[in-house]
Amino acid sequence: MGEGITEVDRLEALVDEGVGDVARYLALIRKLKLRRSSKVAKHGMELLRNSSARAKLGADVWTVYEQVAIAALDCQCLTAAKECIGALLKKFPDSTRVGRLEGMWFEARGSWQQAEKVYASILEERPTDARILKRKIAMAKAQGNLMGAVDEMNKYLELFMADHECWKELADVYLSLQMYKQAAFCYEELILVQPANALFHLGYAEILYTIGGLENLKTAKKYYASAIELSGGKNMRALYGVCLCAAGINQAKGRNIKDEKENSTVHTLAADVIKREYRLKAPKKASLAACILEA
Amino acid sequence: MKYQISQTAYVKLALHALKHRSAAVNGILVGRVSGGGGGGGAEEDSAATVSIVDCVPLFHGQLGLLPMLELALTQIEEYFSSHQEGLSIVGCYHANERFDDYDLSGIPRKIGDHIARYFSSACVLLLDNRLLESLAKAGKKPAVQLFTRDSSRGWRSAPGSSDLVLAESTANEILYDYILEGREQSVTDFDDHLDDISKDWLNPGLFD
Repeated sequence: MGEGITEVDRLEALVDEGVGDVARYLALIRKLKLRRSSKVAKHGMELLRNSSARAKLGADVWTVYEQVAIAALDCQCLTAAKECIGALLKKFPDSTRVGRLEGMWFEARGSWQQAEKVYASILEERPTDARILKRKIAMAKAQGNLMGAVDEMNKYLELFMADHECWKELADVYLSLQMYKQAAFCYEELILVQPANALFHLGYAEILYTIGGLENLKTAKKYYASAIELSGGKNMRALYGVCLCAAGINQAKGRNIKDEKENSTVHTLAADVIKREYRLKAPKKASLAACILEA
Repeated sequence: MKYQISQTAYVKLALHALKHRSAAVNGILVGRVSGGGGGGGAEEDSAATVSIVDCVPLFHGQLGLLPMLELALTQIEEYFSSHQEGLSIVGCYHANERFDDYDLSGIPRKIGDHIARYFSSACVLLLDNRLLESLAKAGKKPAVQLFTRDSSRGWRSAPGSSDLVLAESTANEILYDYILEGREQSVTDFDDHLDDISKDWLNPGLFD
């Protein structure tokens, strides 16, 4: 993923100067699912308004229209978005995929009821259209109706229970509402769906630490440790996390002496890695990093 | 108690929010108390001023988790107490995810409560998006809402805008210029540091 981002940044710099391959840049953004809406909207519109550049896209032109429409909506460029959606409607007059864009255009204006109408009519024909169900979730969130968004997401997950993006989104909303136990449950589902994903182990550990208590700290430490392993020992949050858990466990009452021995190896190893990394990459901060590790 | 915010702190926190337009962001405010009897009870020291001298951008996106917050608070307190005389943590700032959300939610309140245990005149600043949008006309008014603790230990918004002033009257102009330049891309927060520790959450070159 890191190399992908570097490549995108490189292309973006060229495109900004007017010498880059815009089509390739847009394709890479699509592939990596990045949200760089002002660049995509600006360069995308320029490309689409140029008939020869447009012709070179071949069949991809429709995907690009869709991508640029969404980017334009993200930047509140409603006229530009309308242009793109118009072109798509001409080519695909009965498409529900384009219908979604029409709904999104209403959403961007804050015309929630109009958007609802568009989505309701699509759902009448296709009650389990995942894309439209996701728009309903997004609309609830955009209007600040977080509990409504939670409801919609729970309904969606009953239909699409392996959709890890939705579990993650649900976890994030629970966290913003400080509903930590519910967020923890989501992360348990995420780990089931993708057991080798270090970020899910990390997220789960962070939630358990936040809830607190000796048992949770012990479990959090295990998940921080697995996150370290799954990330090849590179994840700084997980390394710090193990140390924070060890410190918390040591300070908590009711712990076993046996636990203390297990504690020492993992967290000392992690502390050594942290100190080494700081010496190499951030020497000015090395003493600050060390102060929390001595605790 | 009066509150004053330096150009450095103000511009930095605004740029942090602008870098992550579709996410909530938060950070820590660092400063000192001057005048009055010291950092004691707010009621007694109405002549005192809390000067917010600098800030440290913390996180973007997910703000409700404890471990990295605890880590950041420890490192920030350690840095400022040993490198910058008389400076300590005096509050926090928060910018909501949605444009028209003016609520101070549970998370900034909790962080504020935690800081208030060590500094009773702690404040929470909530970014005001409408004011930020119309910066050119903002003049001397900072685009943030000040919250302080009242006698029942709840967070309430200061009644008038005179309770928080910009230390330098040029702050909004400078911010406006930086936005035109896209300077917000250069802000580093604690999240960025954790992703790549060579990035410095002190943001040393930000205003060069």
